Amino acid sequence: MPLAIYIGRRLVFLVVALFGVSLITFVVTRVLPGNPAYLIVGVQADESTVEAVIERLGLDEPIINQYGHYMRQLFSGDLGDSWRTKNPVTTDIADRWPATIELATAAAILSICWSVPFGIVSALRRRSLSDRLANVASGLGVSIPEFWLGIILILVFFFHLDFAPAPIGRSLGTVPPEVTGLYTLDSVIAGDWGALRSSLAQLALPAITLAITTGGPLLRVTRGFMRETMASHHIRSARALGVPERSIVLRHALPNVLLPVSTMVALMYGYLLGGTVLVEFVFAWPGIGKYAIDSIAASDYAPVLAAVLLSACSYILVYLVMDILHFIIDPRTRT
Amino acid sequence: MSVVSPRASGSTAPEGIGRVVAAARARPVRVLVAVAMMAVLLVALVWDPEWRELRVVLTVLAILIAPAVWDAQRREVRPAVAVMLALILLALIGPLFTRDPLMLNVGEALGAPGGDLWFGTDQHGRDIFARVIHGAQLDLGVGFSAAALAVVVGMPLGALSVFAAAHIKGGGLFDSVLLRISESFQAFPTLLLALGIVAAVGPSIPILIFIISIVNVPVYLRLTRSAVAPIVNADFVLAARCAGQPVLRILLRHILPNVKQVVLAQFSVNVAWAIQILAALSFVGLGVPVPTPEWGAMVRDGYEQLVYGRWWVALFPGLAILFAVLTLNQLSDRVRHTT
Amino acid sequence: MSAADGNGMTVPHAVDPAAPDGGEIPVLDVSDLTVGFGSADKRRSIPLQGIRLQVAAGERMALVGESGSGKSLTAAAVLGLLPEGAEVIRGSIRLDGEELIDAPERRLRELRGGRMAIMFQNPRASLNPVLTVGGQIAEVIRVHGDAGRRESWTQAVDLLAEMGIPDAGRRAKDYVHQYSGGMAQRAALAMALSCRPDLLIADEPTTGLDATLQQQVLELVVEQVASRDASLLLITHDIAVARAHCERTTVMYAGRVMEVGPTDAVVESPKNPYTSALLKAFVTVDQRRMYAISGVVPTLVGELGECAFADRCPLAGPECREDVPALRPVDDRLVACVKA
Repeated sequence: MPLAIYIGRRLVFLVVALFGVSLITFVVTRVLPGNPAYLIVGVQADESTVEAVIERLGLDEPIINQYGHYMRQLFSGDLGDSWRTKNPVTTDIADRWPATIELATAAAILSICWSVPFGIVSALRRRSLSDRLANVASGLGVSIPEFWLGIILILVFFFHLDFAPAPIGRSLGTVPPEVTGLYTLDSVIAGDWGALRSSLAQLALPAITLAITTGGPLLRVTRGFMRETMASHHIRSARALGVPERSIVLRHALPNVLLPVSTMVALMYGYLLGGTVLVEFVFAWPGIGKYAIDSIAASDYAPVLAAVLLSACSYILVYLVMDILHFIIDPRTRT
Repeated sequence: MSVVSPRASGSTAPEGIGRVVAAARARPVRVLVAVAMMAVLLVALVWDPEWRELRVVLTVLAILIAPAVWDAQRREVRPAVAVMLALILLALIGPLFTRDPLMLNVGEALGAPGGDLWFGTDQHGRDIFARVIHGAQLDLGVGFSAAALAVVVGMPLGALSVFAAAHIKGGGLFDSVLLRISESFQAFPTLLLALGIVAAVGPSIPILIFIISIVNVPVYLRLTRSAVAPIVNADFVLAARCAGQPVLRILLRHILPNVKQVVLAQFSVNVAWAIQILAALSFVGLGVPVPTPEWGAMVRDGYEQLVYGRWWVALFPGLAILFAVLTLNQLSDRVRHTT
Repeated sequence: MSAADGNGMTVPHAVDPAAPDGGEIPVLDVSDLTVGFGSADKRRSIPLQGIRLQVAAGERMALVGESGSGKSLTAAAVLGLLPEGAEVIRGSIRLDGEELIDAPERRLRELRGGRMAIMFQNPRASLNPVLTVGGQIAEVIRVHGDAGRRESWTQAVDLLAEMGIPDAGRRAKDYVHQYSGGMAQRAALAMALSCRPDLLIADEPTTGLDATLQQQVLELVVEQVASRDASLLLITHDIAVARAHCERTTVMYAGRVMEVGPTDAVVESPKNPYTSALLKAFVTVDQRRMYAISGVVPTLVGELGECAFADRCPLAGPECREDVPALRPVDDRLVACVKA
């Protein structure tokens, strides 16, 4: 199948998925019990503001029309205003999105670095030491509540070992001039090594926390795929013709494993973009998740909904990009 | 996956506890009915301020899984089930032997573990050990209830949608619409979606159960769908159709028993998820109302004590979550590997 | 194609089993090979029980038996690639006189692909889906010699061309999913023969191919093996295939060798009742099997103390139950049956 057609088809799926997502967020806000007007303007709003919102959103109209209003709003990029910060939600989100991306990316990189090689090695020999260790590591990774793990890491590395800096956000020192919004990257661009060290230090514990919890499932999946591949006919065949074990693992098995593992990595990254909520909260990391929780605490609903919508959309987008990359990389899709 | 076949003739009738085991094995549909009953109980929760139904749910569950501890044919699963059973019994009976988890005692506030107070006290001087034990009832109860509700809704829906696509005219559309909706659902990060809904509706135990189960329904739908799809056109299903059996009966008697294993494994994982989501929601302040002992809420109390280095307040409830979730995940692994 | 035509080679036909091959060392000499699964206790399953198998230089030997008789496991043992949990209990495997059992893994690796090679059934699964076909062949060449990247690639392309793959230079850059089943089997043959092995083991090489392709691929295998003066061990459940392509045949049943001899003789006048039964099961009328051997293959738990076929054999008597019948010379062949 030519690439263009494939991408076209995936884009159609994308539209369908986004439609589904918008439908679900709409249902959550409008159909569930409670007056949506209050959710939008906040419980402390006065009568006239509420009236105005009802008028503006057409909340007194039939449900289909309401959905029309809702979609029109989404398309014009209007996610409402946050009455807590007094800003349009889109502005607030644009400020905080880089922080979440930085954390999610760092966590994903760390997670891949420990779990994928570990998964590969532990799959080579059943019941070996590395296999048993992998069992423990993946079991714990899957089961540890991340907010608690974050707290324990703070206790150990900040309070007792005095190894990590205080868990109070992204940077203690000066903020580098903004280019990408990622402090680590901006420090490198500005050549400010002090700022780089400071931002890396701030990033370390939250990223490690997430790397431990997301690495567990990734480790398990990698090991599963590797075991399956090592037992496959073509590996047996290569062995039977004297190909050395090193080449069997690195050249013959690894590419077959990395293709499906990369899908898992994409899923994990997509999940992380909306799944850093608790860790952001624990480490006072000023990203989307903390924004959502702070807004909930202040009964400010528009930002919550925007965060939910944004993370769902980014999940779908990441998945789409991965799918297309796969199509390009995997020789089996070429004809 | 093995397909249920008539039992080998000439097997001798089991006795004693073995009979109970055999009955549970031979009647997966009854297990389903019991699970459905648990879901019905949840409705009663709405009117009960003390959530006594959670105890009933846990009791029913203990009775359901107890036979597996003696089931010699499932040697792999037995230790995990035994630990699980012990945990449930601890949640049911443990609270009778502890102090009052709500009793305030400002004089003993923030006492380190030691003496009678094994896990120390929190900022209001409440016994953390007592609260962890009491919390088990709530966390396990809500976890199991939410997962049960998700199974009861998701599994028949998944089976029906495949079955409809294969055997009923126009069922294909139903199937694909359902599939697209559940795919969209799964694009949402579970916790954020749950947060969004709780924030809109307001937290209470029944609503938490309802929401946690909603976000899990698509999982069962797709799981059942993929497990049923290969057998929906199997000869024994076609034979049953030719014999004029009603659709519901075919689903219950012929198809669902064949997906039991997969669903059981997933159920166990899902209880673990449910507990994690509940704890997370409570941790950010959107879970159970304040004085109620709940593990996530207790970790939150501990988080506030972190600046003073009081580690015990957060440590023990967190360990409780870890232990429960680990047990459930192990159980799921074992069930999956003994197919 | 009958047994001896085509290559004009001298093949030791009438073998004196006591001193096989007239003193010449066979390419492959397996004796008393016994392989077990699991820990050494009474309930241990022993799927190979005292296998004897000799393939002389330039000879084409068929290894025939029902599925589950241990043919493929024998091949795996020869290559030193037994599945996890299986181990050689006793016996010897010699390749050109060199003992392979307990040989260091390093040495075995040199021999695999170098002096002995194998092609499996399902060729498309036995080539790596994410590496180019040419690249895989070239790698085997590099592993066993000191050819460089470019040189090994050229050799790989030449081999593919030799196996009858059109436009080999271009097709070498393709992946296996772009090959048809027959082409993939040709590529697998090229890979197996790339280092001029002394022995080629072909494990059901044509299963899954359609009838005309089967014939073509087998003829190619025989032709290429002959042109390299190599020996062939053809594993098949189809006695007709054995008859068409191999001079000699070893019949296996339940992990034991039942009869060894010139293929034509074995087919025309079987001396072991099992061989007769197997042949009858293969005589077909209107594509329908007319004869089924009654009874079931014994489970291979522990070592048998009697003839493995005794339960199903129409001729079985009390003497068959006394001991395991040894392979003994009868006329032009070896037979494991006390009645022969």
